[in-house]
Amino acid sequence: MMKWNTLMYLFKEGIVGLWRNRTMAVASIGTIVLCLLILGMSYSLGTNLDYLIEQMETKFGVTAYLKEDLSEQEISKLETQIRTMTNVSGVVYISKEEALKSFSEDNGDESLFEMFKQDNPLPASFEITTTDLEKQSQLVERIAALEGIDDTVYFQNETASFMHIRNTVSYVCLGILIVLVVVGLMLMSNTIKLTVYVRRREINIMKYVGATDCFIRIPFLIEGTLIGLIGAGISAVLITLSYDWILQKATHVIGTFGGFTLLPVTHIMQELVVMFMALGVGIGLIGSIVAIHKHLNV
Amino acid sequence: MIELHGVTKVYSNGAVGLNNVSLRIEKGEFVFITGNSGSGKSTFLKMLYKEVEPDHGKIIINNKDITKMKKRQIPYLRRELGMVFQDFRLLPNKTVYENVAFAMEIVGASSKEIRRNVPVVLGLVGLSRKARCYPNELSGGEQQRTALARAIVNNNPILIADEPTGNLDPATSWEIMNCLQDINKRGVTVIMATHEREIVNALKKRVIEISSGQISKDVYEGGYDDEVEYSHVFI
Ligand SMILES: Nc1ncnc2c1ncn2[C@@H]1O[C@H](COP(=O)(O)OP(=O)(O)OP(=O)(O)O)[C@@H](O)[C@H]1O
Ligand SMILES: [Mg+2]
Repeated sequence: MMKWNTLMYLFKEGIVGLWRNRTMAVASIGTIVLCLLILGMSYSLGTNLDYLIEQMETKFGVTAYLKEDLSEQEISKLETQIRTMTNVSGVVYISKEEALKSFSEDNGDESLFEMFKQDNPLPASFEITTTDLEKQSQLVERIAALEGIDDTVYFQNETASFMHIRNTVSYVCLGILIVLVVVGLMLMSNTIKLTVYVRRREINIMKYVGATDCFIRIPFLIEGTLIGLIGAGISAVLITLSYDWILQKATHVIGTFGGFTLLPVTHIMQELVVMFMALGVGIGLIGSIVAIHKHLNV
Repeated sequence: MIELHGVTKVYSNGAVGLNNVSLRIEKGEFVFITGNSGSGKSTFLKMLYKEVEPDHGKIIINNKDITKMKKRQIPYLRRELGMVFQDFRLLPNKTVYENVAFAMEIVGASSKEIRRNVPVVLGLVGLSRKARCYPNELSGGEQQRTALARAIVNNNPILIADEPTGNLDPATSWEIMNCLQDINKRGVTVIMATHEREIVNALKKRVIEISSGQISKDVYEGGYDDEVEYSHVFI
């Protein structure tokens, strides 16, 4: 087992090495930051799209109009039937009066309410919200088949096109991410390989003087870890700042589309910081292990 | 104790390093390895610390057959030996002090021991004033003395020195030789490759001469003068 004394020495060696090879270190950190930024952007975009879809799922509900002259019992029986269906998250009953009231309010003409009060042409309805937008059309079929339901309306086209956008974006993001992580790892291990190549004579000498592989490796691992941590830190700061900025700009725009919101920075960063640390340190460590491996064989 | 049994090394380019060499060096001996340039002196020494592997034969150090040693064991073999390499092999990014301290760091010496021993050894080789210099700021002889200081700082039982006086003026050479003799008197086995006939002649130690990879002479209290038959070749 290594002594505390020795570990401290090796830790110091790692930091000294990082400073001595700062050009290489900056290149490696840059590579990691690039990777993590792309990851951060895809992640923010993806989670926000999901969040928007979630909001839409409640907004783009299904409206089921009731036949005329149903008794209160029949109506409440229907409501329970719908409520117990899968993929239903909420059911709100809108009576004929309420429908007329909101119709006249929407048209900004209170007199409409008085005019049609006696002979209300608007049907009563259920406003149904769903948990899974993708399965909405199946649900609509089941509801339409119920006794007492006259007609159903839902935003089939809007729903479908949003699903389409979401899926496309996820695939594109995933594709970009995979390519970038691969490219990033290659760049990273190359820069570290270069560092090690420059220092292979040093490594050889250490071995000839009697240093164990472990002793030689630890400073490089510490260096790799530090590079990863610094890269993760820089990326986290950059993503936080830019996300915050975009959030401010976007709130105006998105807000006008019927009250949609984006996720707050803290929510995004919670998971992202963990991912950044893990990936940054992971890439740094793997990079150094791979790069140093073949030079230890003397 | 070091033993070679029928050790042969032919390099991949066909050059003969050693050719069927057998010898035995007892604990506490002081041995000169002499011979012309390219005769195989360094090859012999490199085999002792496993920089070069023999093609045939056995090498036994302290009752262990090092040719059958596991890779993991090699660092511990090298720590038994203090080594002065013909090409010095100083760490370029460390000062003289740090280079010598490094040998102690790898064996897990405490910082107290390091602070105590390194200056003493640097004093022994006459480099106290260069402790803070980097190798590229040193003369050849100073680099060589740094390498020697690193080789002796851990008090290893065996010291292997490949031409440790090769770059030194006669006066400094003699200081180094006195230093090596002191170490030898403390019980350390010293094996030193050299070309320098005055030193070999004056010290009257065991001399093993290698020519074309074979032992051509092995005499106790020998001198370089006994080389007569080999000077003929070049005259
Ligand atoms: N790595 C190598 N690859 C191929 N041939 C080598 C290698 N090292 C040494 N040789 C050859 O092996 C022979 C013995 O070399 P060695 O270094 O042992 O000589 P030496 O006695 O130490 O010479 P010098 O006094 O010049 O240091 C020489 O012919 C040399 O060219
Ligand atoms: Mg030599």
